[in-house]
Amino acid sequence: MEESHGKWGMVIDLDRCNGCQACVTACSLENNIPATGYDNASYGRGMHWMRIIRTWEGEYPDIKANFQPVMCQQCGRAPCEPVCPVFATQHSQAEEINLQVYNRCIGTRYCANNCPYTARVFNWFDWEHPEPMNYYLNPDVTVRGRGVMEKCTFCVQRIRRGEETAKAQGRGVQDGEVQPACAQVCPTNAIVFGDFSDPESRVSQLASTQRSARLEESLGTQPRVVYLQSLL
Amino acid sequence: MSESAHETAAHLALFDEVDHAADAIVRLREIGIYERDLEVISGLPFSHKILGRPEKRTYVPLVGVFGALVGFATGAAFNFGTPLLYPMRVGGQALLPIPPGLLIMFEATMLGLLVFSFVGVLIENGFPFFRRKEYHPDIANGKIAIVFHCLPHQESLAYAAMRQLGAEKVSRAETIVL
Amino acid sequence: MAVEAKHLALHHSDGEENLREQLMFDPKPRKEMNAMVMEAMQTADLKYWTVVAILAGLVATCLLGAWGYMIVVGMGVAGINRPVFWGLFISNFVFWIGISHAGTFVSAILRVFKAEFRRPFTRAAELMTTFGLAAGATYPLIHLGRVWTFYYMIPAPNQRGLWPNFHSPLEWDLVAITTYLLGSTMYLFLPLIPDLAMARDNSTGWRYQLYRFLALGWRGTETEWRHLTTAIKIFAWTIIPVMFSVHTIVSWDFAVSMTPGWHSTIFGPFFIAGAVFSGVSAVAMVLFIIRISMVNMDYFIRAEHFDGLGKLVLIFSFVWAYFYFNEFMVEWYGGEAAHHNVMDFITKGPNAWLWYVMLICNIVIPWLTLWSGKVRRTPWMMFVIGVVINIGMYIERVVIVPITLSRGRFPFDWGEYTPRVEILISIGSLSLFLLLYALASRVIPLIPVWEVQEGQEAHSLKKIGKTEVPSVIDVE
Repeated sequence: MEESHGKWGMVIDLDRCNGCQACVTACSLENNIPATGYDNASYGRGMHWMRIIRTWEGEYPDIKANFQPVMCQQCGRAPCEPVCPVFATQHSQAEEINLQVYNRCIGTRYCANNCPYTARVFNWFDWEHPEPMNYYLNPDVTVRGRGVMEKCTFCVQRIRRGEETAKAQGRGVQDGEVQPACAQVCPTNAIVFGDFSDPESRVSQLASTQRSARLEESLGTQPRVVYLQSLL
Repeated sequence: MSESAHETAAHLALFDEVDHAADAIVRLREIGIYERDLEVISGLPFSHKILGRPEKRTYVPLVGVFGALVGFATGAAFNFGTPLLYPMRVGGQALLPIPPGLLIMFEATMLGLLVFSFVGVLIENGFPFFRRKEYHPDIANGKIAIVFHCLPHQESLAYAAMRQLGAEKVSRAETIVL
Repeated sequence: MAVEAKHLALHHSDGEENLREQLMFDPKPRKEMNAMVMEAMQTADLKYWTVVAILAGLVATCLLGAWGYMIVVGMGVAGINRPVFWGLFISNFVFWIGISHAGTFVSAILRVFKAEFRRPFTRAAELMTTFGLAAGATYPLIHLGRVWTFYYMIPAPNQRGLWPNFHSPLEWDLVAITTYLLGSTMYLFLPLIPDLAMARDNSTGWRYQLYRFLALGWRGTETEWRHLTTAIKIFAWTIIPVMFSVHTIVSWDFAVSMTPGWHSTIFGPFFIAGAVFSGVSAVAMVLFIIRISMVNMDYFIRAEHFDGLGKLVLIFSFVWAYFYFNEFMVEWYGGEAAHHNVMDFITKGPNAWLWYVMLICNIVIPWLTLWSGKVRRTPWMMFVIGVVINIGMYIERVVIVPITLSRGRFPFDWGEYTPRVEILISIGSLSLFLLLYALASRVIPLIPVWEVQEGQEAHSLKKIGKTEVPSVIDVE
């Protein structure tokens, strides 16, 4: 199988994840994700770009909860990309991640159907950001209107800022300098973000351990998110 | 050099039966009327063999094939040309993929073939045509008309022949606004 | 050795009475047939206008009203959600594109094979193609999240500096449906020209002006006929592969994806079989309605035509069942969990009753009834069977789109789907189809008179030994 050599990637240690949902909250604040309320969210219209898949193992009282944060896996061969008729989702050559261009999206929702990870969410309405949440809107991120698709971007605004800062200072981006919101807030440091093309980076080191695996790897999507499987 | 009758006024003979019309064509030819000065108008597509006439030439298939080529070229340009103007990589697929290209080129070829064949019919027939032309409204109701041009000395011979073969009407062709 | 020469459509080959049951052996003068068709077109009673008014009201409220509301408020007024991103809109799209296959199948394939029973109803079927496409082609628009930007898909130079993505099955859809819509409209129009000229010569007033304009100056000279019949042949041959490609591409919307339950190589032929199956049975329904609601139509549309269509429907029921079993078998045998989850949900989930109704409608009822010549030759029975089959085929599309999508690869993201505004819009587009058809039936000569007369001229009795048998000559 052809291995894609990309740059940015993520390692999530499932042994460390305790399902606290801090990453989901941070992601929502960073990326101007509206809250849709109980009824909408339970009908499958929550807008979270990431979710914590919780599974139970065993029978009560000998029971254990497993948590797995899942967001867009930034596939190297992304199934969502070729099916879009208007190139609204396509591959960024610089960062080697999947971009979603809101202004170009016409809302066919085909990308979401073809995503094996159900990572995409759709703006069913013009969601509101009620006061005081409108004061918290991130100026670096577009606020999306109704009828467009969206998904995790690996906080591309932070990647670009990190790269530009480094460029202005005449150096390369250092390992750990760029952090998406989820990795930044993770209290157990379960989420690590970094550069896979650098074999010395933390993500490369972690991904080379025996615990590393990717979601639905057999589909050939070449995900850019590596999970360290739970041994506990 | 043969005399041309085409400039003279047209005559129209109306028949009930295609057999009589076919016989009438033979008689008109015997009188000395050229094939090109004859025309059969009918409400049914009688083949040239039934009427005993030379086969009419049609360029519709040729126009259609030309349209198919135009369509094929357009499809090829869409698939192998336009992506080069603004290269976008999707899903690890080639920039100029062949299987989807075959689809686009197939559809474009078919569309070209169909549109050009249709337009070919219009152009070859001179459609739309809304001015006066020799016609009789009964043709659409099952009559068969022979429209012919002849020189003045052939006229009476032709009229007699037509009547003898059962033409229900033979006269100077009326022109009707179509 | 006994040689039995028997005409295909003939039920009992003896007896003058039985022979007259066939349109081709019951000729009328052209003038009379013209008058009958003109009268059928010009008769519009209060009942007709009431139906038209109701349909127009339904189109205005259910289609335009509900769609407008959805555009203003957002896609959320429909029942689609995550993970069921496609719902009844796409089911309807597939259904109407399927219906549109009827016209081409009946008209082009039967024309190419010179099946004589096609003659009186080719036009009625071709109209179904055009209006079925009109109803179906609205759905890709209705279903867009931002319909006001639909033109991003059109391959034309623009200030965005971007061309559409020809890798996308939706772009193939656009190209294929455009081809099919334009092609089938021209294919409807070409054989119509002589009939429009006939209508021009037999009408006055606004109708005369309309038909004069539409007939384009047709007279019926040898050259005109030669060009026209040549073009009709080209169209009949060309539109068949186009028809196959259109529904194959519609099936590829699903089959090229990675979604469990969709990713199947048999979807192309399976969808075509289903489309022709529902389309041809819909032709029988439309013919029944035409026959009971329009004057003089019982002369042109006869038991033999329902008989022929019934045989086609039965054959396509076999074909559909065969393909469906194929698809089912392979997925059932394969052990992939994601596929099994989808199959279990379809056959055992809360909506499993839909699946059983589908099997009854598409397999049990046609197989139990259509083998009987008596059933096939009874128009109202064919109508009822047509309704049943189209319900079954509609359910098939519902099972394929929203129900399959409910079970993705991750059980955590499984969902349920309840249609909301989709129901109104579905009623609206059904009304649009019926309204367009009802209006066209009073403007367009529904019977291709010249083709019927051509057929009647071609049929004769041939003496073989001690009896006369019906025979058909090739006039072309």
